[in-house]
Amino acid sequence: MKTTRRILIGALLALPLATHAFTASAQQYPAKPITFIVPWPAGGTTDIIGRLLGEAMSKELGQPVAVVNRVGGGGAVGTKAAFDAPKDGYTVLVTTSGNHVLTPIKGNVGYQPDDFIGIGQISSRTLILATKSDRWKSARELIADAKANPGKFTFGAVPNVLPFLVASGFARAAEIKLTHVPQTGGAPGVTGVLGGHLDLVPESLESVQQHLKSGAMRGLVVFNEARDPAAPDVPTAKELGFDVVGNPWTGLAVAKGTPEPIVARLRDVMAKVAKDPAFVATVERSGASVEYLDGPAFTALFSRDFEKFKAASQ
Amino acid sequence: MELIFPAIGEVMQPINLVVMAIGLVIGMAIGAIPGLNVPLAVAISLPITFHLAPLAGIAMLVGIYKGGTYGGSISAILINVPGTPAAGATALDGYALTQQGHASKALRVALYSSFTGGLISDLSLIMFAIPVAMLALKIGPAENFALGILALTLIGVLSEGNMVKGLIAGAFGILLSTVGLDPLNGETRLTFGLLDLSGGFQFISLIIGVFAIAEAFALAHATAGRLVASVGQRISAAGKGMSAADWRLCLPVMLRAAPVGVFIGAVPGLGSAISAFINYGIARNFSREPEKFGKGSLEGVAAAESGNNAVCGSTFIPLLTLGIPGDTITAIMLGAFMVHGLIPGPALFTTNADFVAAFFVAMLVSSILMLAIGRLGLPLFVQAVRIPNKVLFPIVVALCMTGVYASSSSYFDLYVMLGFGLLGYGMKRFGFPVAPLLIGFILGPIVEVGLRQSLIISRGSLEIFVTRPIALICLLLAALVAAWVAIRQSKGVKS
Repeated sequence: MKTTRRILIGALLALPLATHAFTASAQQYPAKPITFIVPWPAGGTTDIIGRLLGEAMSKELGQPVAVVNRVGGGGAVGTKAAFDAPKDGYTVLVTTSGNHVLTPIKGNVGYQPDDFIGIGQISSRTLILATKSDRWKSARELIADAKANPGKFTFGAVPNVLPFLVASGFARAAEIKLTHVPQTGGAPGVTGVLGGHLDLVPESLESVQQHLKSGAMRGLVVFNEARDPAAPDVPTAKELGFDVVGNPWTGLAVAKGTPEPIVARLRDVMAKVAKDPAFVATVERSGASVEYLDGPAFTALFSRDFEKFKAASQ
Repeated sequence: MELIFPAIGEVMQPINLVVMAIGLVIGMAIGAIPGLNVPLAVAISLPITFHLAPLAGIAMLVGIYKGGTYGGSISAILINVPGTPAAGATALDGYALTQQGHASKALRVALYSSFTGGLISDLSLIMFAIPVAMLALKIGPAENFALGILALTLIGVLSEGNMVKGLIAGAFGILLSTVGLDPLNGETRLTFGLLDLSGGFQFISLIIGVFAIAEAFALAHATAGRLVASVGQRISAAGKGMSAADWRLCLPVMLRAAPVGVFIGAVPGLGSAISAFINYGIARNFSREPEKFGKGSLEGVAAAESGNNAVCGSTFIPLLTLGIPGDTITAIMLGAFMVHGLIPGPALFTTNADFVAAFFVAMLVSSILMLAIGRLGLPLFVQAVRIPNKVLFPIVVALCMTGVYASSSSYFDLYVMLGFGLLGYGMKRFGFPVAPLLIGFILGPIVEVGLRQSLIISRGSLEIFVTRPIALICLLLAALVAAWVAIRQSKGVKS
């Protein structure tokens, strides 16, 4: 009797170990809820895209996805948390060019872009240099005016983020001097231009689109390889003869060391979701647009952009 | 006007009223639980609203927002835990009232003030959206700096009789606000190489620390030292409701706080916590019994609650008229509008006039529903006073811990909260007032960013603060308040 009880207790104690062995196998993945870490505040563009992706992917994966905001240090806090978590596919980073590439350029934050494997890119945004509509009619006008008045005109941007880098890159290429007024976020810069406190703002197209449509603001130049169909009248910097291109991206990544079959499963599920017309429509209605890149192509961006923006920020 | 009647009909559909009520209840719960914040609740609910009709979805978010802003006051008054940053000012007097056996009265003042402030704000949104938006757009860096300085003079008002310690607390609050990333150039400051500190101190950790945790420490100390004297004493009775005299005292305060809150809400980047503290300071300045502030003043609760709820309607002014989100919540709401194909901005009033009318009606209806739900819940909430302190405070501490951890997922923030608990306890023991600390903390960044941006724009010339009329007026008013406080203080010292 005593032995039976012992065996029984032993078996019960071993049970969690057995299930653990099962969950470790990729075939069983996912056997428990998955956490998406968003290194940016709740309610921002990245957060909304992360939550929409989490919701859609959780249906495919058959497990709930919990979205957690770990904010601070230019996205470093959340990215580091995703890097330090067990590399078992249960912690996925909703990553952007900001926390993934630009923050490590600024200083040692305990991770490098290549410490992660891309699951896929979900969106890539167009950056536009905009002004109040009663100012300059074109980039050419701005350049002529700024050449005559060096340092007189201001642009508002958060320092060292992509919009800042393309605006200062543009000024350098066009050989004009613009005064940078540091901002605490993207939206205050747009407000500053509308209120007449700033002359220019480099921002993502979707965050100024409504002001372009209402006629309150005018786009002078976009920093894409080709014109954005959503703003077909605005020329690219390349067309004007300045080689300044930069697109902030958002996607999913996991820490290097995550088992290959789990990475493959996540990549498959994300690809399926990203191509689902209903999902695309929901994202587009939230103001963003889906620009899907598969895992390998997305992973390749990490080191490419790191090198590119490292050179630009020096 | 012809749009209003169909709009009323639409809003009154059962589905809209139900989701709005659900939103309000969720909001009140989230608002009352320490650490869980309203922006997070709105962000989490956003995907749910995608599956609802536009009006129902947005009405639900509005419910969460309004319910949350009010809900913070319930825990602030009953257990000294401001559930939201904006309820910090409410806790200053609300908890003192509970300790004196006036919990029921304090809760009623908070509810009716929230309703009054919210209603005035909704009406301002409906009637004066365009002119208020134009005024708000004139607030640039120079004006922000000047407004911040004017608001900082309230530290002086709130420290009368205890000036040196008040000013020390205020300066320390400003110092705490500088920890973390420099708001403008992104360099780390005062972080001592700790990555966790690079995000700075969270206001919610600070207020929960200096109120709830500090109270728990004081209670533990009193019990351990068998000094069951004044510390932590609470009368476990809820007391009576509001008398006619209480109404005569509080109504003018509510009505005065609301327009100030409406203005603060309309200026992007300020928000409800600032409105609550500024209105608290203003109310003390105009009060016939300023000495009661901090020790259980009904006027203090009325000013703080009317002030923070008066932000709820007017934050939608820049959003709807200009497409500018003024804070995190309206930024999320912007997303909600866009998902439903509604693009905020001047065009919304012509292209979707029927929707705008329905939204206005929904704002008003949600204020009335909030009053009804809050009033129904009141007898339930006041039961908290019957729980003895030695049972209540361990629960409060556990709630604070889980709440702060749930919203930040960071152990570090828990240590920060405990550290601020010790700070608050120390301040209490040595007679330092808490309000100046909090005011310094929330205004520090606004003054700093405003000053630095202005000087970059003006290329280092201080003229920018004189040539811009709003900035000049605010700075002159600030000088006036400072001089007035100095005169009153020196007279007080002589007598």
